[in-house]
Amino acid sequence: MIRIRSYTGFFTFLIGMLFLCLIFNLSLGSVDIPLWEAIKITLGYPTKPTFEYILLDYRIPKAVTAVLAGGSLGVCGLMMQTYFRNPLAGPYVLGISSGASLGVALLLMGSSWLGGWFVFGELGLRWAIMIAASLGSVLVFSLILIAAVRLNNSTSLLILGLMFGSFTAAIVNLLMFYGSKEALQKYVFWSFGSLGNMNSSELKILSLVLFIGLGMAVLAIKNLNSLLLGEAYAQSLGVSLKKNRYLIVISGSLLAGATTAFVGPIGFIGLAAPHLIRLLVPSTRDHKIILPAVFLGGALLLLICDSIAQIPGSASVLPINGITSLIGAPLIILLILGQRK
Amino acid sequence: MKKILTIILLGYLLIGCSSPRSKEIPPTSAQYAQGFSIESKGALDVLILRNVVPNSETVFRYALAADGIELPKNNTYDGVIRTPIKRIVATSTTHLAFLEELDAQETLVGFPETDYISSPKARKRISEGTLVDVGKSQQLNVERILELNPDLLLSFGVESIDGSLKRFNEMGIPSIFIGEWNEQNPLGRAEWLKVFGALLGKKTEAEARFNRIEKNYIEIQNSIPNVKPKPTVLAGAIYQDAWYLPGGKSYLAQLFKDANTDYLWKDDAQTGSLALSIETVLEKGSQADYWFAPGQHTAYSILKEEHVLYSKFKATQTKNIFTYARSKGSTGGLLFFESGATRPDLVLKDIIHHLYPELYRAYKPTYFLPLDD
Repeated sequence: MIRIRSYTGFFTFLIGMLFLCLIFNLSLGSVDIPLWEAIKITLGYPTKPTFEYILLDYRIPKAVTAVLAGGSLGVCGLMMQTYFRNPLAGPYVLGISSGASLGVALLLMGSSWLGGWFVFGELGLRWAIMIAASLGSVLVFSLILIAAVRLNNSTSLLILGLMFGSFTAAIVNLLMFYGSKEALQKYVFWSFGSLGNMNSSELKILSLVLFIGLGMAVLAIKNLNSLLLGEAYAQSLGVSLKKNRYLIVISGSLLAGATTAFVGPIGFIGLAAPHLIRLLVPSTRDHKIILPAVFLGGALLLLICDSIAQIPGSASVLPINGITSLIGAPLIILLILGQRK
Repeated sequence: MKKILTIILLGYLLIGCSSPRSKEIPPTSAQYAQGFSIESKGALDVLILRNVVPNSETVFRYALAADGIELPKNNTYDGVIRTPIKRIVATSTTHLAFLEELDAQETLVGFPETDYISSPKARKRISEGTLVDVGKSQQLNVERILELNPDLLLSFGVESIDGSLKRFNEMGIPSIFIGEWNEQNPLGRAEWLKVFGALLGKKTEAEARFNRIEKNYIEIQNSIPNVKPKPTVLAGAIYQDAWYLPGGKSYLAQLFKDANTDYLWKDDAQTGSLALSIETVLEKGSQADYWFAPGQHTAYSILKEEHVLYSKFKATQTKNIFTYARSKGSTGGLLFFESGATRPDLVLKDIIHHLYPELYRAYKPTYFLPLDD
C-alpha cells in the first residue's frame, strides 16, 4: 500500500494528462467548435445543432473508443511482454490479430465461393466483418490454447504464435491475389482502422468484452509479478503456471481480438505503451503500478494519435493506423535516447 | 570518366531518337472530349489519344486503315489498326455500352469478370458462350485471349500501362486506351462514341447518335426552371473515418452544375474524389436540399443504422436522397457504370426528374432512383 501511495503523483499526472488530452481531442477537429459552445453542449444548453451532432454523436463516441481500445491494447501488450519475457512482444505475438485479419479477409475476398459478401446486404456486412474478425481471433486463440496445454514453456508458445501469424498472413496474401478489386479495397480500408465509425450498441458490446478482459488482467497481476523472476521461480512461489497461462492467454485474446474486430488492426500502441510507462517510471516493475499506468498510457497515445489523424483545422483526415506508428516510433526512440544519456 | 560521359550522351541520344512522338497537341475534332481526336489523312483515319491517365502528357497516334491499304513500313504510328473491327476484347462495361449504342454488341467476344455486365443482350451472349470470360482485368488470361484472336483489345488505361498490353501487341493483337472515364464533361464522355464509330466503320452512325444525345442534353438543360437560390446538393458517403465525395471539377460536379444546382463543393479544384472529415461535411452539408450518390447505400433504414450522423442531414429527414446503386443488372453490375457514360442525357434527366417531379411526369428514371425506406 505504501508503495502504491508513493506513485500517487505519477498517477495524478497520468490521469491529468488523460483528462487534458480528452478535452484536447474533443475540442479539436476539422470543424472549429469554440470551447464555450462545447461547455454549453455538455451542460445541455441549446446551441447550433451541427455542433451538438459533431460533439455528442461523433467526437465523444470516438474518444471513448480511443480510450478503451488504446488502453486495452496497451494492457494486452504489457501482459505479453511480461509473459514471454520479451520486450518485442505485443498484442500481435499470439497471432490473435492475424486471426482476426484472416477472418475478415476470408469474408471479403474468399467468400466468392460462398456466394459473395453482398449476400449479407449493406448493414449485414458491418456485423459480418466484426463476427468474422471475432471468429478468426477465437480460432487462432483456441489453437494457441490447445498448444498452451501441451507446451511447457513460454518461448515455444511465442514461436508458435508467430508461426500462426505468418501462416494466416500467407493465406491473406493468397486471398488478396485472387480477390476482386472491390473486396481488396474493402479489406485494405478495414486494415487502416477506424475509431469514428462505432454506434452506441457496438460501443456497448466492445466495452463489455474489454472490461471482462481487463478484469482478468487485474486478476493476473500477482502472477505476472512472480513471472518477472522467471517461470521456474514463479512456480516455486506457488504460482500454478498452467492456470496462470490460461488467464493471461484468454485475457490477452479478448483484448486484442475485440479491439481488432471493432476498430481494425491498430498497430504499435500495444508495443509502445508498456515501454513508454517503463521509461517514465524506471523505479518499479510491479504490475500493480505498471498495469493501470499502461492502460492510461495506451489510452493517452491513441487519443493523441486520433487528434493528429483529424488534422485539426483542415477538411481532410488521415487513417488512424497510418498515424500510430508514425507518431509512436519517434516518441519511443526519443525516450530511449534520452535515457541513455 | 570520359567513357561514362560518352555512354550517357549516347544513351540520351538513343532515347531521344526512339521517341518520335511530338509534344505539340494536335487539333481536335472532338467538341467536348479532351482525350481524343480523329483526323482524316487520305484513305487513313488517324486516332490521337491524349490524357490516357490523368496528367499524362504522352500522346498516342494510331492509324486506322481499311484492309488492303498499304502503310509505309517505317511509319511513326504507335499502332496500325485494321478497320472495321470485327472482334473485340473489352475491359470496361462502358466499352460494351458504346458498342451497343452503335448496335455492334456482337463484336465483343471477350470480357474479364463478366459478372459486371448487366445488359440483357450481352448476358444472353454470355450464357450462349459467344461472349467469353477472359480472367481478371488486372490479370487477363493470355491463353484465352489468344484463342479468341480478337482484332483489338480495349483497355481503360489505369493499371494496364505495364507490360501486359505490350505482350499482346507483340503477339499481333493491337490495343488502345479508352479514356472516357477521364473526361469530366458528361457530353465529353459520350463523345467517345465517335472513336467507336471510327473503329467499327460506323462514323456517320456514331456522329448522328452523338448529335441526338447532345441535342437531348441541351433540351433538358433548357427545360430547367430558373429557381433562385439554386437548390443545394450534397454527395457521397462515409467510409471508415472519412466522407468520400466527388471533387468540384469532377464528372458528377459538372452534372450538378448542368442541372442548375449548387453543389456545395463546386469550388474545389479536384477532378477525382475527395476524402473529407465527417465533421466538415456535416457542417457544410447538413442543410443541403438534395443528396445524390450516397455510396453503395440503397435504403434510409440502412443509412440510419450505418452511422448515427446520417440522420442529422436535412436530405435524410426530407427523404431527398437519390442513388445509382439501386439500378443493378441481374448479376449485380451497376447500370450507371455501364451505360451512364454513353447516356448523359438520361443521367441529367434523372436528376432533373427528382428535383422537379412535375416537369417530366411520365418519365421513369434509369440510373438515379430514390432510396428505399
